[in-house]
Amino acid sequence: MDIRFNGKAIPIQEGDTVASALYRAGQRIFTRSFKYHRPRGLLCCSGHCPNCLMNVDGIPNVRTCITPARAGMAVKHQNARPSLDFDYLAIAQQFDWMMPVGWYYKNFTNPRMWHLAEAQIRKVAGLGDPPPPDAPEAVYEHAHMQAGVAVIGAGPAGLNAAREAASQGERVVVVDDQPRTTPGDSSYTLLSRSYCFGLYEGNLLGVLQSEPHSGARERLVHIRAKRIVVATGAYEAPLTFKNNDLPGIMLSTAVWRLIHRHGIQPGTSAVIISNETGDSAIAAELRNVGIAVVATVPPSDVLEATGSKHVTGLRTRRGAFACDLVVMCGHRIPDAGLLSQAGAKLEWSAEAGAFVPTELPPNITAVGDVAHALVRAASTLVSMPNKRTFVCFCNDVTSQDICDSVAEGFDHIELLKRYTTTTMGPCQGRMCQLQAIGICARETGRAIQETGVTTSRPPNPGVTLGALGGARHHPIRRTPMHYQHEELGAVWMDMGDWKRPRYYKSAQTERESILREYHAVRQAVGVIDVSTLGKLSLKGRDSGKLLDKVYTNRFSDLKPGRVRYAVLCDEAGIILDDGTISRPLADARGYNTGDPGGTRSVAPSVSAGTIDDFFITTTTGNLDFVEQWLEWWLAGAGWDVQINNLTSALAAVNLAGPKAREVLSALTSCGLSNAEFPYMACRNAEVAGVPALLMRIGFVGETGWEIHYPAESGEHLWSALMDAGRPFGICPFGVEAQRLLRLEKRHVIVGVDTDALTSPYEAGMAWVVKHDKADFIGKFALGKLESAQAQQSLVGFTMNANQIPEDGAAILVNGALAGRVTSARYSPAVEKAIGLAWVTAGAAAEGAQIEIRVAGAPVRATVTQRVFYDPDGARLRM
Amino acid sequence: MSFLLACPECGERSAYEFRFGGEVKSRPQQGDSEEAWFQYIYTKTNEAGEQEEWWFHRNGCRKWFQALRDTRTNTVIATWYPE
Amino acid sequence: MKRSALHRWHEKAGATLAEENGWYVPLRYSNAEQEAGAVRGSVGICDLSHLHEPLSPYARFLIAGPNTRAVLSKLTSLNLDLTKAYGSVAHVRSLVTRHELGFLLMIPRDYAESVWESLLHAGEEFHITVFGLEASRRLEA
Repeated sequence: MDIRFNGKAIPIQEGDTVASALYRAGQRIFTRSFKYHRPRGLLCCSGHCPNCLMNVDGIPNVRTCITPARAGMAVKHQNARPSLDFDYLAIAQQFDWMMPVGWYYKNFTNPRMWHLAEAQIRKVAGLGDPPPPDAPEAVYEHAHMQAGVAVIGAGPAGLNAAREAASQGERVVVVDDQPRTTPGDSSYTLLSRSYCFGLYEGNLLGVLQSEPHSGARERLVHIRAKRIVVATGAYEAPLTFKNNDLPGIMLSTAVWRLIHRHGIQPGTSAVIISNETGDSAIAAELRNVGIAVVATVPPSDVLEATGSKHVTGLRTRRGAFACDLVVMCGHRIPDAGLLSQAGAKLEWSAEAGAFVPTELPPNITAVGDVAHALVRAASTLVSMPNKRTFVCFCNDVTSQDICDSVAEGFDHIELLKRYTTTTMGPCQGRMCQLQAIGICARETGRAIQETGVTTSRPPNPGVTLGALGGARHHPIRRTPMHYQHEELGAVWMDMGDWKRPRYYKSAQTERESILREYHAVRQAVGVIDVSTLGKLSLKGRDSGKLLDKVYTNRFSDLKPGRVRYAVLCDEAGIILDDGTISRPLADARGYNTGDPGGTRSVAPSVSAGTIDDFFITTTTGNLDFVEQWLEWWLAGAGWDVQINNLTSALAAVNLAGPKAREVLSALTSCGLSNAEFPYMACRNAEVAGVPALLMRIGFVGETGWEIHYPAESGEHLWSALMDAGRPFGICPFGVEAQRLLRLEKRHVIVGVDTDALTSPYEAGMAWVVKHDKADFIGKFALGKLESAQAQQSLVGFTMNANQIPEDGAAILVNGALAGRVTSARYSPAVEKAIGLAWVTAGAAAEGAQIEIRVAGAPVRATVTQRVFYDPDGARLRM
Repeated sequence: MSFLLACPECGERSAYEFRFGGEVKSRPQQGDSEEAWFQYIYTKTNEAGEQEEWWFHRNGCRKWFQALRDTRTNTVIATWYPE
Repeated sequence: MKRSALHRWHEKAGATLAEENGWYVPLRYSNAEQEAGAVRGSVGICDLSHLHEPLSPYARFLIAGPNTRAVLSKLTSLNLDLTKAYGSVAHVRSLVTRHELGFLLMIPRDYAESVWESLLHAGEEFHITVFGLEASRRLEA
């Protein structure tokens, strides 16, 4: 049983962490420091400090002191070249005079310089490397729990609280960062190897669980608890003296863990730094395992530690002692970060020598050491300025740096934090905060309470991005005909969550495939899946009233069996969405299948409805918004309207082209002639035996029908259309052909050709605004806009060029910026490049000459207000 | 932003389930002053304190309701359907 | 014949399909008895979309077995003690109803395959199974 450390086999024992196995094998330097590349060894052994961060199985910055060792693990050191033992970047220590506190704020004021320096600094400093893009993907997942009581910390106080709550019948969850097993009789759920990284509003806990089951690396558990008991205890923080960061200088709790948890003897002769007089408990522990205690000295007597890669002695006011272990009995600090996040106040207690939480919010309690710190080793906070006395182990901030910062005026604790980066490293202040506050207080002559603490914010400790992202459950929306498109060679595009065929691969190139689809629609017949359109049905007496209020045009007078184009604006007169609104026939006129009743029961809203029924289509991306917008104007109005979202219930296709009528007539007995079914009419009919709502509309500019029908018959009707259309050369077409077809007709796409400032007047759609309505959303603003001089307008353009401008390309008039392109394509009908563009009022005249920037160079183009293809719409009425 | 909101239909749920609909405002009448419309369309009170707001239960019942919320603490004092 | 949103998925999984009320339904994927046993022992999912109201936007899944809650809790923050609630399941707004065998999930039809795949993924640690109508009838018996 072993792990591999930099390729070398390291034996592991039962209960080992990665760090304990390495320590037992003789490893003393675990990391090189952030800035100066000083050797660092085990310090806290409890997952708080940055001294043991390594790359484990490709994941950087793993806290090896709390990561159970598993056979076969691949462990690598970080931030040292070529090795931990010899790191040539340790030369940085000789240049510390070049890198005073805030050195890059002082030296890299020129942004270009910083740009160059940043990459170099990142190579030298920093914390490990992210996994390479081709690394095998680790499994991360989320889970949710509801609890009556959540207890953070499974120490004696936490478990007591858990048992007590469970005995009162509460559902209890206990969270603990150590590997523990639940006692068999337990009345609570235990999440072990789990740390709580944040306490959020509404008593939501963010908990990160390591290896929840064999397949997963981490699980992020969201726990919503009625009551939270914080039993996080207290942790020990280091003392400050010169060279206090040498390997071999450890916290007493770390020494205790190495001895008791791992059976390791962490040295042969030790000096204890403690305020306790007489024989301390830790001295007895050391002697028990055969470590000689050379001396016990109070912190105020310590001058410096000696040694280069490991401690060899301690110089004190009482003399110099040779040793290979220095045990710091440091400050015991309540681990109150979660309480502080919950809104508790932290107050300085001189007698405890710590900040103690007070004023806990309701439903949050603190038990054990976190509530009242034990004064186990009260010691002086004061340390003299020195360039080798480390306050912040994460970012290499010394006591000198803190003093300099105060001298430079960054003397508020929050400013000092940001300027020096103390408390901003992986330990998030656990190791350094109290020392930094202490020095700041002394240097400014303020009391500690007055100096205050910095704010604790989640996540603390850090969380991997993988865990926050969770499992890959990105939702995908598929139309009922999805797999038929796939069989036809669809090349997909994403539209929100939807997958839509951009085009069908039918020729060598994309361009040829799209042109083939285009010509089929213009010359024969094409069919496109438009199931992604938003589809809403409106029922109730006041439906027309709602539509008149919300849409700019009028619908209460829409005759049954008719369809009308619809534009939605907000109160500022900005176009929000467009679509069609149909009013299916009040009776079965035009419905020729002979079974209107039967169809009504199967599909009420696509069959002949009541006089008050309306059917709305919205653009694909705006359905959610439009539904909410309608519901909002309805809320509290007391009107009789029921809105039913049928988007997922209905499939929809658009069959278009000069042969569309012949194809459709093979599948329905509904009369399709111009007399029976004119342009902008709608009918209920069966198509291929499926009840459907047919609308004769023409987004692509040819005779055609949009057919809405139940989704479960999606494949059936599509197949029927393809079969019936085969003799006529039917071709399925995708979004790209549709966009070209509509562009030739100058039909606007909301959100592509319009933006968050576009009114119907600027977009050339003044006719959709019915000012004779007493009131509607946007009426006031549109009234103003109607009489105002438009700053810009949407125009068409043509250009004799093989280059097609990109969407967003700049428009120039006499070399000055005068607008931008919104859509541009090569038009087979015009045999030129055509497009839509926003231009300033001066450049909007018919025939005006403009220049469009294509691939960096201006290309001449001509403005036109005319429709590019079939301007009279004759083909729609054929 | 993980505070709880009591939807009148579905009960107490995480704020993540809802869409925020802005402050409750009263809409001027056509014929009211330009100033009244300007205030309605473009301005917000942005109260630091208790504020009446619109909320939509997007992942739940998909109904709009109103809430009284303290914007400083995210405490939701009451929720109701508008009359 | 009407098709559930998972029709193609069932075909690919080798389901034996039959006709019921004008719908294609998956009877079994391999062996009904084994499917029912796997559900009783851990957790499984079944497509019941053919139990359909007219013009329903929903596909209908049954998730059953002792590990049902463990799987669902990976995909939804809904309190599963409620008897009926709308909420987000695998990031899709759905209706979740308690059922004698587990939970009934009403998923918008166009998201159905995506959520089905998410259920299978979340259930991997429990060796989740898919089961057909035959197994579901055995479980109900």
